[in-house]
Amino acid sequence: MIELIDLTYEIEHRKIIKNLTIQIPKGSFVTVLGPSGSGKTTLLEMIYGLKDDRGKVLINGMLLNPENLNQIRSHMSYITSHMLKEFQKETILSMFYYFLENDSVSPEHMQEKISEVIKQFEIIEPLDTKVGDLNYSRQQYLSFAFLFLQQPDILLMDDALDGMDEDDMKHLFSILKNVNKESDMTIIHATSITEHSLCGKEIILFNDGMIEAYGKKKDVYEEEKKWNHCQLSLPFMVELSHKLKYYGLVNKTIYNMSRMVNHLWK
Amino acid sequence: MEITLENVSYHHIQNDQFLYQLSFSLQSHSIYGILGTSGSGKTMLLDLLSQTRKPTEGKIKVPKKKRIGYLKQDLMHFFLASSVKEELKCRLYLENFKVNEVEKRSMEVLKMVGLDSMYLNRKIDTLSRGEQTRVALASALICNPQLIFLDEPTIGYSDHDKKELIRLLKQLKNKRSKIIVVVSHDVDFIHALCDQIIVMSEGQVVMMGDKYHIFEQEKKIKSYHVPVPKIIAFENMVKTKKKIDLGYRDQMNDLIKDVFRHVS
Repeated sequence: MIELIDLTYEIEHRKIIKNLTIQIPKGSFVTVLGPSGSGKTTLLEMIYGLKDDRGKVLINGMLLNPENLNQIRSHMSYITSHMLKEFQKETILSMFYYFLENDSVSPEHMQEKISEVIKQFEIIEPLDTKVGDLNYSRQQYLSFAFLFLQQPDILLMDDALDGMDEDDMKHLFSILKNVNKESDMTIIHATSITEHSLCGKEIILFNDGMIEAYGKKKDVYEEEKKWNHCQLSLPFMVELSHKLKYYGLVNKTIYNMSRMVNHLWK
Repeated sequence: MEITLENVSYHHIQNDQFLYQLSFSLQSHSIYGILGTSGSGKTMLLDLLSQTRKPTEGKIKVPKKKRIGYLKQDLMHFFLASSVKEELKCRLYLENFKVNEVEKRSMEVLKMVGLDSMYLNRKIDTLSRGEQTRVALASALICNPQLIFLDEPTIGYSDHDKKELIRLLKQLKNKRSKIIVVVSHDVDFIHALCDQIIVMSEGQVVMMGDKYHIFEQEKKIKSYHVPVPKIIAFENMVKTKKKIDLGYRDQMNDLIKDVFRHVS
């Protein structure tokens, strides 16, 4: 569970986060959407303890402070774009060991853990491939595999999927959905791509350092005015459903395109 | 005005990156969109078109004495200065603009990309990713270039920001003779913005032409792991599944009207 109590962040006399109070229960898969400059990144950085100012962050009931930061972080992973920028000369295998050593795992368990993750992510590249020889999309995909070695309880994603290829992204979303369901991993995904919210369970609409809406995605999709206010478009199929509903052609939101076509032309 | 490529190849031995035998030409008054998976050669092609790299074989004919605006994807290597004001000033000085033009031009270009003059005094590293993209776009456009190359110009952009950018680029296209080429992985954005599409795969141009003609070939474009825009995917699906030709629409409101007509 993540609790934020009266959280504020101010820099150069501008408030980026404004008295934010919210509880995000364990096992949530929240997409944080908002216009650029709305404070999404700062919010995630505060949860991970990269930035602090006023207010409290509680992770599983523990107050985040400089003393226990490392202990609390051992349950969290933070991923942003260009994760492997500094590791271009390393091989995939050495990256696996690098991330495991951070976690102090016994040598006999190392191999086991690596094999598990390779299977989970269906990694096809030979393990002696250099990171720099992979395209950006694969590098980003593999960063998730590396982070998953540490089996985080909480995964924080900041625009981590922007620039990835369709195939890798689809694959990754199915893995994320699965771990969220099977092992109750809490996922917070900040993005400017509203279409991505279809893959999560809840949505936070974030605007000017404040929460405009927070709830189950199907409920938040109905709050069209708030989306407009945040300068966001609804995902294609949601908008299509809403408009067809207006014309009386459907009576509910249909997320699947093929089902929509079959519904319209029976 | 046009850019012509004749049998252009490029090979970077160290990174084993390559472009292979490209021959085509780009005209003004069109916006070209380049699609392709990560590593297919999109950025390298922009580097060649903007004369940032030279081809190892073949010839590129670029109109002479034209200013180039190139928004690069890797912003940390793109910016020349640490504050917005200095950044814009540098760009103008590089193109020999006069000192007394700096302020006026800076304000104008910021307004163009949707930032107010308060941003002039901001440090670039305190800006969000979306705001940095805007400043980079302002940098690329401040000298009023005739050749505009944009590499992933929508990173960190909300849907509203994308619509504004589309409006701006379409305005530029219509105003004066310009060649505009945009690389993006966002096919919906490319569809809404461009007239012509170039699909790249493994260093080669595998498809090129009018956007509707390209997106109509859904199977072929998907074989290069490039998705089609959602609105087109819907129209294509109605066509193949129900044998109904809705035609191609850019706006959802027009699509809805077509659907309504055909269903009732």
